[in-house]
Amino acid sequence: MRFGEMGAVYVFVIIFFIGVVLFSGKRKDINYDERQALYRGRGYRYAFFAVIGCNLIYGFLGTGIFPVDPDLMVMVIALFGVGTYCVYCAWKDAYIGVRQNWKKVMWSLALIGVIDLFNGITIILSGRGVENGRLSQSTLSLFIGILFLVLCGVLTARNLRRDNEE
Amino acid sequence: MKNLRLKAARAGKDMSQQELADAVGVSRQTISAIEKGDYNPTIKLCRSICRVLGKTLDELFWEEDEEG
Repeated sequence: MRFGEMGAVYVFVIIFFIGVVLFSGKRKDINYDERQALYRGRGYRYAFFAVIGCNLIYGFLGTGIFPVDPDLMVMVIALFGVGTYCVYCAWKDAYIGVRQNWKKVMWSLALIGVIDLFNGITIILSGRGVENGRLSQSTLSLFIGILFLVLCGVLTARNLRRDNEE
Repeated sequence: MKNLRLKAARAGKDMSQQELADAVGVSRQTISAIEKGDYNPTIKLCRSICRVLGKTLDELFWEEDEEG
């Protein structure tokens, strides 16, 4: 097993145990109110169309135009759909449930984002991120890191706005 | 259209948006959106808000110009 793969395993194990410590014993249902449920439904729709649109563009332009491995591209498009959903819900204050602790959510997202981004950058710097002039599948964590950090940024912006409102 | 009557009724009860939101079981942003006129609540939520604020549906949510 190479260093990057070992690193990924370590990261997964660390995240798993942090999750166990944070969420065990006090599991409670996350409730969304009617307005949040409405926007979450719209978010699903937009995410669906975002994925369809990206796939159409990718299908028409072909695999040669993007310097990205086709297998990675499939995952990136799926991530784009997830990102569309999450960012839309966050922007509409529908990402975090009614009685959910937004600080805990924010810190969890930031932690995962930084770890994934670091992992992705490490892989690129080690030279394994690019194969045959294309970004390889091993750089997926870079995109995941970016997604989580963008989501963190949107949630932070919304909370800053909320503070100003109050 | 802004719902100033809701805002006034809430202020009359000396409640913050968060306190009203907690009392009716929604997020503070939802109360804010209702007051700003960005969201039309369901009748169920309207009734909960009226109950907490001690007002009728007419007093808080009926718009006079819709009568004619």
